[in-house]
Amino acid sequence: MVNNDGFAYALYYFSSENYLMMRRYFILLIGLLLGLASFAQDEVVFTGEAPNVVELGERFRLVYSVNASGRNFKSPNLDDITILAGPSSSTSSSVNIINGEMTKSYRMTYTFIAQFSKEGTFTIKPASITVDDKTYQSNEITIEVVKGVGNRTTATAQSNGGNNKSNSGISDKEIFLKIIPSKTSVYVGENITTTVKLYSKSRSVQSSGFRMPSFNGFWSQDIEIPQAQLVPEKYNNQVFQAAVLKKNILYPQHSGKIVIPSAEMDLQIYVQSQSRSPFDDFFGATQSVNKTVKSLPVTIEVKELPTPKPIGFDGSVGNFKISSSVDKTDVKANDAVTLKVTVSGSGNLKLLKAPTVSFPADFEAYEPKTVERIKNSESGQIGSKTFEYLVIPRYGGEYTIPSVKFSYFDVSTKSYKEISTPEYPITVEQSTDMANGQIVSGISKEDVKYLNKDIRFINTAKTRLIPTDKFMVNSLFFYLLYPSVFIILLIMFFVRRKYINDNRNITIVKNRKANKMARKRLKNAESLLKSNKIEAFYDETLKALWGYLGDKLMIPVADLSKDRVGLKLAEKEVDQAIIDEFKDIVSTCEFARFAPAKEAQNMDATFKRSVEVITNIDQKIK
Amino acid sequence: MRLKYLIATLLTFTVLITASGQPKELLEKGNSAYMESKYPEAIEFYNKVVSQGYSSATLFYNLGNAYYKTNQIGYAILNYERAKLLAPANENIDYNLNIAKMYVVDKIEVLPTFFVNRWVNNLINTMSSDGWAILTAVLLSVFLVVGIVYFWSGSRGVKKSLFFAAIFLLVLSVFSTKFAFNQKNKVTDHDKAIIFSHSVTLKSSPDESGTNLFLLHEGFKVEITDKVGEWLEIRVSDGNKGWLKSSEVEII
Repeated sequence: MVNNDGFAYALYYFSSENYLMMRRYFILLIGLLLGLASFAQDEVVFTGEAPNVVELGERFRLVYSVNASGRNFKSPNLDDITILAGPSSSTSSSVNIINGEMTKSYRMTYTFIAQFSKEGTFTIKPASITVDDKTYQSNEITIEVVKGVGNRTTATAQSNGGNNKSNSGISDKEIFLKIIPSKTSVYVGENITTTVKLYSKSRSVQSSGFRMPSFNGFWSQDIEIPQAQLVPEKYNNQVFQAAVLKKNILYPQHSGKIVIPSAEMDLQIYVQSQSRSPFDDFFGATQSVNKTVKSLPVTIEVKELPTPKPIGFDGSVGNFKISSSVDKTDVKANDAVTLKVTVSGSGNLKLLKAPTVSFPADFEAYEPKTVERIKNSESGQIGSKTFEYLVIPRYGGEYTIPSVKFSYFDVSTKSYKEISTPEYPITVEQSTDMANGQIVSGISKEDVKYLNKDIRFINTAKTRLIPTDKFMVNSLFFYLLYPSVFIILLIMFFVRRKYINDNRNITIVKNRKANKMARKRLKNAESLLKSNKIEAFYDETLKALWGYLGDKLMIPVADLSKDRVGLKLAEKEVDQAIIDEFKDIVSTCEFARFAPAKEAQNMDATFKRSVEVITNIDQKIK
Repeated sequence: MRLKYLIATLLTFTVLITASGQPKELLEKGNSAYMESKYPEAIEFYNKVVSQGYSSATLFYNLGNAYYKTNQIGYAILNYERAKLLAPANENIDYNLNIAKMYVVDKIEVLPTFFVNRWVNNLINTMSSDGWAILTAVLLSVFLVVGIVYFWSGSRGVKKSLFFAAIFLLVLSVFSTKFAFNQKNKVTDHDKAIIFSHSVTLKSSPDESGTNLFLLHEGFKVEITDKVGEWLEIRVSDGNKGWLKSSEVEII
C-alpha cells in the first residue's frame, strides 16, 4: 500500500514537466523492484522426474521443472536413452490472492519423450539451468529397465485386430487384484499385515466400486495409507502400474486354516482406439471397457500357541516390556496410593486387559483406569497401555504390593516370556485420631453418646494381691473341707449310736434285774421291819417299789410318778385293781414318811402287800 | 511414635532402679503415677507387680485404664478381661471394657444363647472363685451343725425337717463348689485371647497357603479351640472359625 501511495504521490510529483526524465527512471526502477520482489522471495527448485521402472522399449516421459524463469537449459548426457521427442518447454504461472496476501507461482518445464533399448539400471546425470546468473543442478534419476512382454510397442496392432484382446474384455493377465499377506503361517494372536493391490498394465483405469472381504476369524485394524495412486512396479518380470488400495493388520483369533475371501473392484479401462502416432497415449480417442476384478482367496495357517501355557497367560503375543511406579510408599491410613503399570511394545496390545493385582486384603482397590497410546503400523500395533490402580489402605501396618506378572508369547523365539514388576513395600501409619471416620463404621447410632464419656477412675483402695492363679478351691483347706465334714458326721453318728446302745443295754439289764433288785430291797426292808426302823423301812419299800417299776417299765427315775406308772401299767394291760393297789401302797408309804408313828402297825401289812403287788405285776409283765 | 518408645524405655529403666521389691508398694507407686497422669510410668509399675507373679482385679483394672489412656486399646481390653475374670461382678470393669470395645472395628453378631444358660452364667458371675469357695465352707459348716443336731434330736418331726435341711444344704454347697471351680477354670484355662495385630487374616487351615476366610482387627476377643505348631484355631462369637498365628494374639 505504501508503494501505491508513494507511487501516486510520486506520479503527481513527477507529473510536472520539469521532472519528466526522472519520472521515467523512477517508473523503471519500481517495475524492476516489483518484478524482482516476486522472484527474490522463493528459493529456486529444479527437479527431474521419470518413472522408476520401465519396460524395454516402453515410452516414458522425462520431465525437468523449475519454479523460476530460467534459461540455458542443458540436458544431461543421454547416451543410453533414445530420445524420441523433446525437449519441449512450457511455462505456467499463477497468482493467488488469499486473505489479502498475494502469492505468485511460476513453473517452467522441459519434457522429453524417451525409451530405453537396453535392459539394466541406468542413472541419468543431472541437468542444469541458469536462473538469474546462477546455475542450478537437478537431481540424478535412476531407472530400471526390464524386459517386458513387448506388446507396448505394438499398440497400433492391438487396436486393429485382437487375438487375445477384444474390445469387450481384457485378460486377467493385464489387470488383476491381489491381497498380499505379510505372512501365511502365524500363531494365534500374532499379527499379519494384508495389502490389497491393483495391478494394471494400463494407466487409464478408473474404479467405480471396491468391496473388501470380511475378515472372519480375525480381529482387524485399518492402517492409514495415502490416497491410492498407480505407480510403476516390477511384478513377474514385467512392469505394471500398481496401486495400494487398503492395508490392514489382522490378528487371528483361533487356530486352524482361515481363508480371507476375495476382494472385488469394478473398473473402467480406457483402451486406445486407432492411432497414427506414438503420442496417442496422451491424446487420442479412447473407449472404456468394464471389468470386475476379483482377488484370489488367501489361506492363512494359524498355529495354536504351544502348551503348556503359563498360568495367567491371557493371549498376548508380541514383544513387550513392563514398567511400574508407585506415587508414595509412606502413607497414612485412608490416603490414596496409585500404582501405575505400563506394558509397552508391539503385538496385540489392544486386546490386553488390566492384569489383576492382588493387593493386601486391607487395601480398598478400585477398578483400574486404562490409558492407551497405540498406533497401527505396518509391523503391527505399537505403543503402550498404562493401567492405573487406585488403592486406599484402611489400617496401619507394613504391607507389600506384590509384583505383577505378565506372560506373553514371543514369536521370534517361539517361547513364552514372563515379565514382572517389582514389589513395593508400603508403610501405612495408623490413624492417630481415633474419633475420625475410620472408626465411625464400628459405632452404631446408640453408642455415639458415649464418646463424650471417659473411662472410670482407677481403684485406689487397698487391695489384696494374690499370687497369680492361686485359688482357694485349689488350697489344702478346701480339699479337706468335704472329707472332714463327713468324717465328723460319721464320728458323731457312731458316737450317738454307741450312746444309745449303751443306754439300751443298761435299760435291758435293769429290766432283767428288776425283780431281783426288788427282792433284794424288800429283804432289806424286812430286816428293817424286824429292827423296827420305821422310817428306813418305808423308805426302802418305796425304793423297792419305784425301783422295780422304773426298771421294769423302763421309765427314767425323773419321770417316775404315780400317774406315769399307772399309764404304763395300763398300756401293759395290767389289771386296774393291781394298779390301784400299787398306788395305794405308795401313798401309804409316802404318808408314813411324814407321820411314821401312826403307820407303825401297818408296816407288816404294807410289806406283805408290796411283795404281792410286785409279784402280780411281775407275772403280768414279762 | 519413636519418641514414645524412647520415653517408655527410659521410664522402664527408672522404674527398675527405683522399684523396691514390695508389690504393694509398686502398686501404690503405679496409682500415684496414674493420678499424676504419667501413664507410661504407671504401666511400668503395674507390669512389675504382674511380673512378680501377683494378680488382682484392681491391678488389672488399673493397668487397663493406664493402657487406655495411652491409646493401646489391645492391651487395655486384655487387662480389663483379666480383671473381669477375677471380679466378675465389678461394674467399673464392665463399663470401661465396653468403652474400650467401641474402638474395636469388628462388630460381629453374637449368637443368642439358651436363656437358662444365660441365667446360670449370670448367677455364677455374681462372685469370684474364692467367693464361691468361702460360701461352700460356710454351707458345709451349717450342714455339719444340722447333721449333729439331727442325730441328737429325739422327736420325729424335728428329725424329719432337720434331715431335709441337711440334704438341702449339702446340695447347695455342692453347687457352690462347682461354681467356684467354674470361675477358677475361666482363668486357668486360658482359652480366650485378644487380637493384637492391626489386622489379621483368618485362614482355613494352619498354613500360609490356606484360603483367606475373614479379617479381624486389634482388640477383638476370640476363643481358642485348637492349636497346631505356631497356629491357633479360633472361634468367633458368631460361630465362625479360622486359623491364625499365635503371635497375632495375646492370651487372656
